[in-house]
Amino acid sequence: MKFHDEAYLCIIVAVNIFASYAAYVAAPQEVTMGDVYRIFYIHTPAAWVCYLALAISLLASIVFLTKRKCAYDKIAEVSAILGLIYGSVALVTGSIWANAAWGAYWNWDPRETTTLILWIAYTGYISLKYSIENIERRALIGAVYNILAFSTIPLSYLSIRLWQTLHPQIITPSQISITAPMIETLFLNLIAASLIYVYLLRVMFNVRSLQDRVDALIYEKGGATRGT
Amino acid sequence: MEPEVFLASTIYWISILAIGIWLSRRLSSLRQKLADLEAEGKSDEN
Repeated sequence: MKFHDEAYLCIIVAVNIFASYAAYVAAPQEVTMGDVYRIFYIHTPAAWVCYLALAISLLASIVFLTKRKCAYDKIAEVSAILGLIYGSVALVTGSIWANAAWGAYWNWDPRETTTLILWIAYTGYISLKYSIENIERRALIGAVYNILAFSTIPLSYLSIRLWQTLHPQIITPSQISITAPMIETLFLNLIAASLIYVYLLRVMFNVRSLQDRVDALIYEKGGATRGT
Repeated sequence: MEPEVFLASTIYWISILAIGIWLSRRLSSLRQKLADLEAEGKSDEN
C-alpha cells in the first residue's frame, strides 16, 4: 500500500486543530484547578506517546534480536529518540503543572523521580548507540540495553500506585475522577498526539535509512563514516 | 488562556514543529547528497 504523506499530514493537522479546540476552549473548567488544569491535555498525551514510543522501541529490539534485521534496530533507535523527546516535554509540562498545583516545579515526587530515571536510562541508550563504531555490536548491545531500560516504564507508570504521591490519579480500577467531556477531550488529544508520533517515526526512519546509504557510499569511496 | 497553559502548549508545539522541520530539511539534504554521490559514482565508472 502506498503511503500518501500529504493526505496523512492533512488528517494530522485537522485532528490536532479539533483536539486543541476541544482542549483549550470546549472542555469544561475543572472545579479546584480552574483553567490551569488544561495543561493535562498537553502533559498526558506527551507522557502517553513517550510510553508508546519506548514500547515500540522495545518490541523492535526484541524482533531485531530474533530476526537480526537492521531495519528493526533502526526502528528501535528512532522510536527511542522520539520517546525521549516526548518524555522531556512530559517532564517540563509536568513541572509547570506541579508549580501551579503544589507551589514548586520539582518535588521529588515518586512519579517525577521515576520518570527522570526513565529519561536518564534512555539518554544512556542513545549515548550508547552513538558511541559504538561497529554496526553489529552497536545494534546487539543497544537491543539488550533497550530491553533492560524498558523496566523503567512500568516503574514510572505504577509509581503513583506503589508509593504515596502528590500526582493525581485520574483513572483507577475503581473510579474515574473526571467528567465524560473531559475524558472525550483527553482521548481525542491522545489520538492526535499518537498520529503525530507515527508520522515523525516514519520520517525519522527514512532519514536514518538514507543516512546509512550515504555513509555506505562515502565508505565505498574511502571516506570516514559513523559506523564501519 | 492561563499563562501556564500557554507556556506548556508553546513548549509542546515548538518541540514538535522543530523536530518536523529539522527532519524535513535533513531528509531533503540527504536525498540531494545521495543523488550527488550516485551521479559521481556513475561518472567514475564511465
